[in-house]
Amino acid sequence: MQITVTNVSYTYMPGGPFAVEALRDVTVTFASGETHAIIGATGSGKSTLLQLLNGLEKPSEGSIDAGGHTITADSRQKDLFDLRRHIGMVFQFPEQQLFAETVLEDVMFGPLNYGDDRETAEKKAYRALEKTGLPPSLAERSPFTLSGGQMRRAAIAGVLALEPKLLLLDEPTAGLDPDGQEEIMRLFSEWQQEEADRTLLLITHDMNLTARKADHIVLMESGRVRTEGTPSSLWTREDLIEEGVLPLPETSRILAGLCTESKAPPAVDAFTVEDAADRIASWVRKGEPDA
Amino acid sequence: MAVIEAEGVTFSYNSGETPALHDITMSVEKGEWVAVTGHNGSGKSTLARLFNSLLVPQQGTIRTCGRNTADPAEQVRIRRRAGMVFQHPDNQIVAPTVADDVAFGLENAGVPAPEMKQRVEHAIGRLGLTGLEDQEPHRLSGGQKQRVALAGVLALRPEVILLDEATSMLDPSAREDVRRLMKTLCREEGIALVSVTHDMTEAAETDRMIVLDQGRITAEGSPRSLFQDPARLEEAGLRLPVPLQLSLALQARGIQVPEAVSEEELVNALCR
Repeated sequence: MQITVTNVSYTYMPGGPFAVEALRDVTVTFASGETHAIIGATGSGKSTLLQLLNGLEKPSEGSIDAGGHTITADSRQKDLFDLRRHIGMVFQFPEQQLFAETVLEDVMFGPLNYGDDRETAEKKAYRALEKTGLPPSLAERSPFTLSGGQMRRAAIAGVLALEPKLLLLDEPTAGLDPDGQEEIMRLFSEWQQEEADRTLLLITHDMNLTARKADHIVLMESGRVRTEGTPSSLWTREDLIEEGVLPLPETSRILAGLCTESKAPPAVDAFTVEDAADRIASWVRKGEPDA
Repeated sequence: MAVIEAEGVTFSYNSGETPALHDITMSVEKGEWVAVTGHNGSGKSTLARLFNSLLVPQQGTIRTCGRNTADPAEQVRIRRRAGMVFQHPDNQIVAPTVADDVAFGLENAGVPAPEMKQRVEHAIGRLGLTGLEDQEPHRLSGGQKQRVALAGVLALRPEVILLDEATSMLDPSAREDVRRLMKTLCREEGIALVSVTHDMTEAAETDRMIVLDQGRITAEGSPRSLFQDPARLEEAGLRLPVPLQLSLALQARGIQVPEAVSEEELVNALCR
């Protein structure tokens, strides 16, 4: 599902002495079927943008178009409700939102809330549980008896059961160990690959994750879109790196540190260990007589 | 002299269940920085909670700062001598201003006002929070909040600080920041640190690393020595730090580099 944000501004507590303009004239398109990352420092407006995309808030000015729904300042609650149907939101630490007596009831809650009968909701719930790799035998257990990793999966199943077209992920890998991070991201990419128009949008401080997973990055600064592009097009922008608005992924940081009297540093847009090793090896060999 | 001594410690959350920790024997020396590592669910946070008497072992004993953690009469003193910083910045701030928050523990401990003022100032200065004394903590960034939490612990003049994934929620530059301050507290103030973490970049900086897997210690030694055996780390759900992975990948490409565990070390070796 494509999302188009056109000239959107958002002010908290407008008109009052504490008015804060969190977004200023933001225009950006999130193409269908891609993985997008919104990055930027704390307070840059990325969380506000996420709340607008999820239909939790309405823009003060401008419009958001998502899959045929248009949200403006004049939209009614019903419009926001319709929009939210197609958008799944995985908050930070989603396992903290589990509440029902059984895993199955918890995962069924969303579909039932959107008007499915019990039979359909149950079907969707089992399908979602399967996708997250939770065995059906856990469906009747209390979610609070599961391990931390299983709880996070159960919570994600609750979002997937709504059959969204767009998944919004807020720091999806925070606090997970390396295996856990890989498993969770694999789960989301497998979900995405099942249908061509499924779109992922993540908000994160993790530049390693962003550089490796995103097709399209939007860099926010002081409520505006500072720039957007692919990982390579961003991490070759020396102005952004020097200003400090664009932190470097780990491998890029090492590449950026390389320099000798005779050699300029290599380009820093290599984001996996293997790519970075290739880049460094050819940099080291540069200028050496052929052996 | 050991600030923490655990002997034969076994702990289960519910009786009859597989223990979260099994027969743990280890110690932390005065002024030492120890990393307790392992995957999610390996028992590492449980161990940290046993160290400052938030939990008590069913078998074995733990002595923290010379006091038995199972003795209810010692619990308050133990928690003052062994301060803890948790993972979530928002879960540990209680007061309306930064200075009040740092003073909270001292007030509870009944420290006289003039001394309290001095200790709060010192802790705030040490953690680079000067100028933010009257700010509302909830308006600070995650990294600043963790520094406030650390300052609150430091003001109590602990012998050891337990850091339960204290940097895992921070963005990379704040993480680097907090890590540097942790190092300063250890090296300059002589406070022992126990870092509970699966971040190998952090573990690489410590004096000694302990690997937990399914509630048992499966490896122990200097980070550098444990990094010699990547298969064992992977078994425990851990990975080599990126600079070391890169060093090995370069060696495989015929480039002569040492096995560097930090970015700085690798960059320096390549830029000779």
